[in-house]
Amino acid sequence: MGESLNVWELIAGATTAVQLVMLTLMSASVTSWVMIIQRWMVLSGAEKSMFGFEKRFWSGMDLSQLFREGSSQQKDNKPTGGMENIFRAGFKEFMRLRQQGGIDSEVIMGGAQRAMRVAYSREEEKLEKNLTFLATVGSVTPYIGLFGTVIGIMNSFISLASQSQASLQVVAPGIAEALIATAMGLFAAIPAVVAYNRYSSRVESITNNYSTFAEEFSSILHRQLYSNPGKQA
Amino acid sequence: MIRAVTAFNGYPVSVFFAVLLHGLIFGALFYMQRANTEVIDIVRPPVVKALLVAENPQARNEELQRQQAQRVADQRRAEQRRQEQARQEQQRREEQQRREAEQRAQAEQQRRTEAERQQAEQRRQAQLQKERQEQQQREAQQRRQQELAAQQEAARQEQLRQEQAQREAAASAAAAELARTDAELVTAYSAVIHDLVQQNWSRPPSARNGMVAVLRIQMVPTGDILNVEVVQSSGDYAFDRAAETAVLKVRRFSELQGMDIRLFERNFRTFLLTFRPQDLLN
Repeated sequence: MGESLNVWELIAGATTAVQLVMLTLMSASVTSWVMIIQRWMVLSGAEKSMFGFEKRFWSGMDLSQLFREGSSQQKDNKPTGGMENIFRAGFKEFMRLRQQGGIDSEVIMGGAQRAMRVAYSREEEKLEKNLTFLATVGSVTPYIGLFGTVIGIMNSFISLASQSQASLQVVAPGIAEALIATAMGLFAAIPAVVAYNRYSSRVESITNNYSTFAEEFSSILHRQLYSNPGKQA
Repeated sequence: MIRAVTAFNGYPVSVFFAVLLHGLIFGALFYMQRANTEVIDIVRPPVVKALLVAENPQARNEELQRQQAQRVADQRRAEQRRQEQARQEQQRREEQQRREAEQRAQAEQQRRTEAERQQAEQRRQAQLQKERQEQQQREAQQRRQQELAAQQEAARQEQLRQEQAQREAAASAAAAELARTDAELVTAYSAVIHDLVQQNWSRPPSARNGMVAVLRIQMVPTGDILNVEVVQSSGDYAFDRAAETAVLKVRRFSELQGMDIRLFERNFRTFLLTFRPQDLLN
């Protein structure tokens, strides 16, 4: 062992199967980190817009004005937050049904609630997108790394069989090279698992907030519908 | 800023940061690896270096054999040179003898011409002695002729001797040539034998560097091994047995079948084979 072992030389000298495994793990790691960062930005943005909208909503502002502000924001190509989308879907449906006239208040309430449920599930889907990928990376990459290690150790033992004098120096580079695959698998898996757990709990808290808001908003609509029934007539 | 981050759902920014993160991590790994390299250099045990020195016992044997053949050839050349010198010495001696004989003859001739002059004076003084003198002259002439013939004979014999010497030199050169090709053949056959035995030789774990076992092997011209016996034991019974088994396993050196019978009788009817483990670590 004249020159010391270098990780890069080991990777370059690995067998094709092990190199393929390493490449797969590397791309899985990069992709999972892309997801982690992107999800982090999406969830932070959702939380921020949610708190901002709640503040505006409970400030006592007129609901139709709030709706108009959202419309002008969408016209400026600025997307509205998740909670605002739920509000807009419910309010739009409510106003439309109410303006048609002669419709039972129960039906109006049912229509608004249905529209809000649809918007809610759409928002939930937006938040949970790609989280399954993180879960997959977290659970599968250790096995891929293990597979590469087994292949590498197998190869090094096969080459050991053709040696007349078996020494540790013959096996050591092969095993070290094989273990790199396991290390890379764990390297990809650990952040993915941590991020998945963290993000799914965040998504859950955000969606809880959404559903609470939807309930509150529908109670407001309900109150509005029955406090001045004369407007209906 | 917010708009840039949220454009395309924030994917470009995410990709940028993810790649940056991996680059940082691998860069740190690389840096640590280089720092580790130096440490490893310092603690490297000297035993590891010794491992790299791989000596091929077969190559060493071949080298030894080549040296021996070289030595034999040198001796033969020296012998030849000595013979050549002796022959030249002889030639020089003969040459000297011949030259001395010539000088003697010249002196004789001078003496004779002086005698003639004296005879001429005597002829004037006494005519009676003339006949006798003439006879003497004739005799002298005869002697001179005889001497001349003798000289010619000597020259001829000298030439003959030289020719014979040349013939002898040529013959010895041819013999040397033959011996050299023989030596090469013997070396080649020995290498074959060594190869085959080495392939069948499994060293016991008790083998150590410096152990030497010498085996005497008896063969017949078909290459079959008649008998193997340990002439010099290595001191380790298992090692001796392993060496013996290696030869017996070969059973037959079929490569030796086409060999010249004269060579075989001289070199391979009975020969010694030395076993020594040179490439072991301990």
